[in-house]
Amino acid sequence: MGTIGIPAQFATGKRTYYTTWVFNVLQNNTGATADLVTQITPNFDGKIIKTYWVQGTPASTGAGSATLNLEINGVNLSGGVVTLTKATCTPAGKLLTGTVVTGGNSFSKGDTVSVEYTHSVAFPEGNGNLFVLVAGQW
Amino acid sequence: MAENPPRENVFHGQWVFYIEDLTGLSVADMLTTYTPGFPGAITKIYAVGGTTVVSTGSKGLVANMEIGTTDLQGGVLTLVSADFTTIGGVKNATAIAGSNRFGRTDTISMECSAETGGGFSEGDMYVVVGYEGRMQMHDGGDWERDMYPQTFHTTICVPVLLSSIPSGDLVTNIVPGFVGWIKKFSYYNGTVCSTGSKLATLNLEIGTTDVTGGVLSLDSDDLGAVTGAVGMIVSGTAVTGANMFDKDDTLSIEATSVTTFVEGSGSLIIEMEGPVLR
Repeated sequence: MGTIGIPAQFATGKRTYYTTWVFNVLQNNTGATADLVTQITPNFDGKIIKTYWVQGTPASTGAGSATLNLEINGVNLSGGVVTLTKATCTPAGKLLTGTVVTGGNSFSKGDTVSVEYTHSVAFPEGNGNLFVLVAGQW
Repeated sequence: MAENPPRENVFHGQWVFYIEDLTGLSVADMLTTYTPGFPGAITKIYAVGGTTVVSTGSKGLVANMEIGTTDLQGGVLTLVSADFTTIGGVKNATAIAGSNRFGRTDTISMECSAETGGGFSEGDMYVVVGYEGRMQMHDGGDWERDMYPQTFHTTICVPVLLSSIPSGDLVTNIVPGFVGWIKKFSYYNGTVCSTGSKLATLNLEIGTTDVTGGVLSLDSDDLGAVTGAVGMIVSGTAVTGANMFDKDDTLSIEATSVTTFVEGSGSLIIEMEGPVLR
């Protein structure tokens, strides 16, 4: 076991719990640049900790290159970008980790979160899920 | 006034119910008796249009949630073609005004109560149901959990096309990123199968060790090809051990005994608990 933090009853400061959001993507159906999700409202205070992608049906034939990023109130997070390519979107079950989230990742209960997809080369097939680990705090 | 817990001592989570083919919906249940397994309250419901946009106009549906057999007050989702003409459209349900609390053994359901124009002609979406729960004092039995008496509940949902289930890992080495333990594993049938005799057995792994229990047997015959309907839940076997993970541990979903599915899709639902930290 690694370091796991101070039990809530022995420490002061914000209490933290975790939740995970998921966004499903059919890669061949997406436009060149589009919101995959436009302005969900989390309805609680929290912080985006990390992003990762899990490939479903592989996108291994033809070309294909795209990135996924998150926005809070229309402003891009610093980091958390997942890059999808033909070479990396196979096999099924493959995990792709987003870049390290370094800032712009806190949200309040009334803020909005969007997911943006940008492709330079369209995928002919493939699907997967973008996961977002969120720490809720109070 | 919503029957929600106080703002402190609460955690938030969500279920994601993936419906790949909106044409499969009718005036019937879209989700049939899922048991969360913890006490909480439904606080928010919205639908997100997927990447197959709706091109046929004047279609729609109305859906509402139930706890047991009692309708939520509010939380009504009214979806029309125009909501999903672009990828990623978000349509919020009406505000939840009450009857939204559930207990540990209660069930939640979602029913489509009306359709417009005979229902959608195309499109996909996922319905997100947000919940709150009170931090729990767990019932002991393990030294690590005894150190962290206050726990939260959380859910990871994995939308899945059954045809993409390989013989091997369906999900390889995700790192949940927090300390916790797996409570149960289920499948939500969002779009039915029509081709019979397709099978897969799914289990969870922490690192390379199988979780004891939590085995999910999927059979297309039971997911619509012979019997079964949109919205049904398939429950894994009871989780009985080897279910704790550290923040650096990996979690995989493994598929065995696979006879490749032709169609059908839904969400895999992993329910977990973890310690509250500061």
